[in-house]
Amino acid sequence: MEAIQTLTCLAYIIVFPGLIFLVVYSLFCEWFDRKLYAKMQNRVGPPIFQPFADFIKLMTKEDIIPKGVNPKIVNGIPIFALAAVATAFLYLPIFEDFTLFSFQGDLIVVLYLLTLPSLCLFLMGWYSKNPYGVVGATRTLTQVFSYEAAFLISLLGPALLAGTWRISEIVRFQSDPTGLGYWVILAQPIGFVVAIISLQGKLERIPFDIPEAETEIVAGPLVDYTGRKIGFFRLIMDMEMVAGAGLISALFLGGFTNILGFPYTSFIVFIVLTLIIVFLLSVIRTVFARLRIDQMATVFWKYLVGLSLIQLLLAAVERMAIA
Amino acid sequence: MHSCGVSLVEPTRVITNPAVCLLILLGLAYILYQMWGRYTPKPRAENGKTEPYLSGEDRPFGTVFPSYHFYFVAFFFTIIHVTALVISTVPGELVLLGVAYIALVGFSILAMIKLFLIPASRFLPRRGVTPRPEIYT
Repeated sequence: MEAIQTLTCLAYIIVFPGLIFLVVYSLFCEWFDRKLYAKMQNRVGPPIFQPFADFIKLMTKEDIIPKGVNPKIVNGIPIFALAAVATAFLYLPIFEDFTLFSFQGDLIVVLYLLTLPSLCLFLMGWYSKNPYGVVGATRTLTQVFSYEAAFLISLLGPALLAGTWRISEIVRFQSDPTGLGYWVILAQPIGFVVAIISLQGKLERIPFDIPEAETEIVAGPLVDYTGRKIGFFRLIMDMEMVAGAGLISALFLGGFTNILGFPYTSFIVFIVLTLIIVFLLSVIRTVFARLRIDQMATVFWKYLVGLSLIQLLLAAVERMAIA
Repeated sequence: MHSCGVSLVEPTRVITNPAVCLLILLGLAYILYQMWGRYTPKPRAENGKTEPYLSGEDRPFGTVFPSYHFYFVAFFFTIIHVTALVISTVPGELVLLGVAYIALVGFSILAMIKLFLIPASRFLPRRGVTPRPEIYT
């Protein structure tokens, strides 16, 4: 009994919904995003295997360690970032009754684990002896300080409303008629919008691609790195997109709620909801142009943090009304 | 730590712990990273490929310390995180106190944003307005 449960847990961690599933689904989401982006720009877009081919190509390129850089540190950072995102994904309820890893407070753990890739990116830039890399690193850090607060407060709303820090319980709260009985997005639309915009900042996508602005600082923190390191970081950003989309869909869009009622259809619901979030991120990426770093700080601190605090106040009032 | 509706035996309880999961996945990521390393060509330091991607100028290899004037953003970030943690631990019967706390923090943040994020151009003389002549004594 013990051995079977242990092996099952290991299979969850390694295969599904762990690392292997996350890598495959992340590459699929990258293709979906690139295809949508191309279609919205009246282009054909890449074939479905393109992200996978890009990943293989990068991973088999010569891995150059720039002069004066500690190879152990710059080889270790991408490994740590990938492990952090993959761990965060394990705590997302991606189908009904998948609560094996769930515990009270998992939302906070997931939020902090999702912060680590950005900090790892900062360290990559900071350790490179390149001025572009260091400028990219400081921009990454400034961006973390800006979007992270808005992201945290916007995701605090559903938790405050449901009165729990367990993601699976927040999902159940939305489907339970004695709880909220409907999706949190209807009660907290401002929080949802802030969360989506903050996720775009977290993923360093247009209009928040300031840390790696190609036309200004070449590639920012990763300017001097090649091969496996870039391949890993591109994959990590895709994995973070899936984990962020999964988290927002769980907290605001009912998560694994089994709308169709058939067995395993809750997993299809998860896939559809994450793709909807990726679609919204693609639309934002298409219609906006890059902001300056001070404009980004202003957008987050002047508007989005204020809006998310208002949403938090409303959530507290809604909570009192429900109680 | 336990899962909803499933009684876990001790080894499983240990494996589902976030720290243990992170360690297992660190090991897996390390294997994946090293495995790919076997297929990559051996790096050869030639033609300046290990030099920083710059314009060819000579510069000493040392850590670059840029000046940083976005410190106030980091300051706000800390305040908001502490607020979030305070709000999350407010007991149910003290929700009203939590609401008042959010309002107070929100007001303080907005006041500081007004103070810090006002463009520097506001403090410059407006067009057409002659700056006051300085008096030298």
